[in-house]
Amino acid sequence: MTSKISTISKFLFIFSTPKGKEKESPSYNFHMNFRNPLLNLILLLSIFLSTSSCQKDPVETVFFNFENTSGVFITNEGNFMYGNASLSFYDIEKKRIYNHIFYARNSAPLGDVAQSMEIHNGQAFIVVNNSGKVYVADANSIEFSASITGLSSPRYIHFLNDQKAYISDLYAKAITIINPSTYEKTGSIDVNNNNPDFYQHSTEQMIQYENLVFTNCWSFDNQILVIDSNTDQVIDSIEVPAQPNSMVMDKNNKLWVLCDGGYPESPYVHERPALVKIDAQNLEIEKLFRFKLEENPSALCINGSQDTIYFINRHVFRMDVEEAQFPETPFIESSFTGVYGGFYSLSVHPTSSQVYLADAIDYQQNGIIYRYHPQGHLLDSFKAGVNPGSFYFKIE
Amino acid sequence: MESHINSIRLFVKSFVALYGIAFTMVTFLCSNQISAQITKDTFQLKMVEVKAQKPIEEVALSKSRVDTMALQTLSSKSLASLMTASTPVFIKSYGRGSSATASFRGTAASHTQVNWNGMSLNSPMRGDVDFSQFPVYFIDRVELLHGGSSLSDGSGALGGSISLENKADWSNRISVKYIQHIESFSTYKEFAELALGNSNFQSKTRIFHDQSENDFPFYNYGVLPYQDDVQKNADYEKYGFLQEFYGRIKKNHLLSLKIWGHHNFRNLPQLMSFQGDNRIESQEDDQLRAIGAWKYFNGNSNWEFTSGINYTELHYFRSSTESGFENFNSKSKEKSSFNHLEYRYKKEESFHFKTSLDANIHQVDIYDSTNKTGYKEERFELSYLAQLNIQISDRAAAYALLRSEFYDDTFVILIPSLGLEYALDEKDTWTTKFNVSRNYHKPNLNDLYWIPGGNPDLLPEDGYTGELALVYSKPKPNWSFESKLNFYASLIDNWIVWHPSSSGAFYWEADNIKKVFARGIEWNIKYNLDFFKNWKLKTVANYAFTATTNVDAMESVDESRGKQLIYIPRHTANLMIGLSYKSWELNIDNSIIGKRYTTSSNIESDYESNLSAYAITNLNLEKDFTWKKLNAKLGLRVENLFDTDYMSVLWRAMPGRYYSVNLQIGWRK
Repeated sequence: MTSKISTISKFLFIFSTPKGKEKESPSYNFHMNFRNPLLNLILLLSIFLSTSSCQKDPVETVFFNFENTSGVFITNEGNFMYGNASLSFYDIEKKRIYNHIFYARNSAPLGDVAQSMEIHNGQAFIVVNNSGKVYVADANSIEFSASITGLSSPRYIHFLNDQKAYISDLYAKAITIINPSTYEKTGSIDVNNNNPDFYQHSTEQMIQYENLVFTNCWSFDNQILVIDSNTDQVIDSIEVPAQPNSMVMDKNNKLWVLCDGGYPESPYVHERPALVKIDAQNLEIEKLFRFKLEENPSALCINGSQDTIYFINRHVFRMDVEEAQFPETPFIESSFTGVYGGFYSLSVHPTSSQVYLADAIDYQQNGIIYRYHPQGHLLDSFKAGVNPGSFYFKIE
Repeated sequence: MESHINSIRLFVKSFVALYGIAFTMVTFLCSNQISAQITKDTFQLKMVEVKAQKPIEEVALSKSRVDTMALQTLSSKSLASLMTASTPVFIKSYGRGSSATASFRGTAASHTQVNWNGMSLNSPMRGDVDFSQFPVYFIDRVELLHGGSSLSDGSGALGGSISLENKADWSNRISVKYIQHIESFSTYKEFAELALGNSNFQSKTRIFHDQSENDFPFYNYGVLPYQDDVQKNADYEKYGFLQEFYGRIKKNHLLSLKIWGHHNFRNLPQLMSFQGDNRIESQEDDQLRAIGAWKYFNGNSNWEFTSGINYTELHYFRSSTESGFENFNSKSKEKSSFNHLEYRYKKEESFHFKTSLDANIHQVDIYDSTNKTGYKEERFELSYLAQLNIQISDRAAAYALLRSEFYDDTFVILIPSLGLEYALDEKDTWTTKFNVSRNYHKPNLNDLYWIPGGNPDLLPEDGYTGELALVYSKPKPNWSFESKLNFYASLIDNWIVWHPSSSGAFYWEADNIKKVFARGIEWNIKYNLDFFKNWKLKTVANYAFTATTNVDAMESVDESRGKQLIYIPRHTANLMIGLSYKSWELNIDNSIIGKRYTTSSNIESDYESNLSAYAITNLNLEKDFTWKKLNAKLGLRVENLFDTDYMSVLWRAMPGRYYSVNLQIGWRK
């Protein structure tokens, strides 16, 4: 009987001290005391108690220097309400991936759902959507320098000059104006249209043409708002098909907008998705391509010379901006046939025109990034963080 | 909708208020009137010899009971705390006062079935149960049926089922009890109880109220720079009542009616890394459930009919206050009615036959007024059971059971389970058990109908499970020892997963994706010792090893194949020790939770991709005072004695060490 207890104690002891180097000596005592069940119990208890003191090991700081290094920053969204967003950097020359660089350098998490990132004056502004903040870090060392907090659901940041930047927001019904030098909020642009049925407008990406800033309103909406950056006022809007999710500007100052068309049984609308070409000067729609109703195109982007647009519609398609015909055959074909998975995000390197394509796999593990040659053949691949959502190219 | 919620709340509230008044009056009257009678009546409780032999209907089943020591020590806590402290069931808690779900034998939250006096408490909408909602104070007995053994109670519990029971105390005449509990972080809990009756009728009323600011301090290393922080927006208020009536007619009819009303409002805190604008996020639950039962005994035959209703309203709200943006304003109503007819025939402890028929209806009506989405669906389900238990020889006993079910438009004809128990020695010291079962779990109504992403074509999750147990039991006059060691393995196919749509749409969809292989060990040890004079020691320990992996990852780049499912620890253990001397009692409960992964690929990383193992120790000291029929108990409790810094769920703040004082006054005739 007593020996059984002793065995149990030992078993629990082994189990409960995973690191247990310094804790080896108590095992002696078992043999000395096992005849007394009470003492055994006290020992058993003390073992349990001793494990209670196990604490988190402090993480060692990792120092980075990405100065004069060309590469790509990848913001990994992580999972909603997990707080596991992360930042990765891929050194293009050395073909080396650095994951979790924000945590490694600053010993703190990025937050919940990293949406996008921009670099301004050597500072990286990382928009952390569901943490309601923008973290600012040195773009070469990734050392944290400031935070812009108190935001609602920030999505993207757009810099107008050293004193002014806009932060779009999914829920705020306003664009926040900040001073990127002092990191302070300096104002806001009201975009609320007081629609009694749905909350409008949410704001997403921002593209500047002269003094005008265009922003797409995606959630339960169909507008491209036109903001005068001199007066910080919404001065006009362009109606497009339902739910514009991404947009780019081509070399001819035409704004291309990709609309996902909503979803089946949506209380807002479900229509055929569309690709729209808008003249940035007179705000007129010049062309409108429709997809099939069941398709869900996303991630519209453009190359550096602004003459070819790319988007995901299960496969990757590309199209010359001068082309009158919609592309029939995919540029990069997805071999994916399962019920989940497939291409998650897309971007094109501004100088090399190499295509970066992310697959989030099962959305619960580190996603894979495929690099494609401008002609469409696979160069290589590497693993980034969970749900790699956006790319920022650092060109030296 | 609003009126429904208000009427339930008003009902619960007025009940609690009225009861409070009545309670005070009765207490007052009793103390005056009946104290005069104290000397007259001497009521002798009959000592009942409990036979050690196991009931035939339980042979070869893997059944365990939560120790009364745990029920008493943790009576002011929630069912979540009770499970963590005294069972092998892993509870994933989102924080103090926040929701808590179970994982039993490596399965998902919806695979643990929770029954209250035979009626399912699992949400027909989501399939799971929030263990933080139930006060231990309302429960008299907790039984667990592990794995396939749960089929004797119902289907769908791929992990196992937990049965919460209320029992009549026929020896009671009049008793009153009041507990005041004061805890750190402005937490006040009040419990009251009044029981009246005689040998043919019993009524018992329990009420509780639990309120907390829940503003515990913590060191926030989820933001930069690190800071001393206080948990915000985590306050809660719960109250409820439980009314039980029991009646005996002609010695062989037993009638009972139990009504349980419950209200729970809580604000939901944000993650540690949140630094956004003011956000309001709250959840309000209102529940009303009732169950009536009629039991008829006639010689070896035993008839039972139970009928119950369960009505739940849930209101989830989230908004950004500065912009006035409402993200969600979702209200759901779940109505279920349960009917159970059962016949048993039992001949001594050698033959038992049971057959039963269940007919249940579930209705779900959910609507989000912000997003203007929702659905209204109904499910009818039938379940038939036939179970046979036979004593084969002096040492061997076996059971065979068969369930057949029908739900929506689906027939599941064959759900069998077979088991054998064999005593390895004549004294029954060593016993071995073996059982195999098929089990399946219906998709929840959200899985089928949620807009967007619900999938009406989902198949039920289908599993096979087997287990082998070795039991050692040694009762002696002044000490006893029991060890139960279980090895189990389950293969569950068509495991339902919500995943982002493959079409590229932004929303998530439900599909039968994974094939999960869950296997492990459960080890339960009980040790009691009476020593010196007046000293008593009671020990209960559990260890669970759980390996639960996805064995059907599809793509070559997918690294989740063969990896542990997220948020399910491989190792968990708990140890509860009670030491009493005369009227003093000291209880220590410890729980150890092993490392948990948060990525399906189980990546090892220093950057919170996985959650470190932790151990929590709680201390409870009580002193009893008895004066004639008046009994008082003063308790002091320390939670998280060693001030352990830990995370149960990624970036959810947890409190360090905190305290409570508990005063209980009871009077019983």
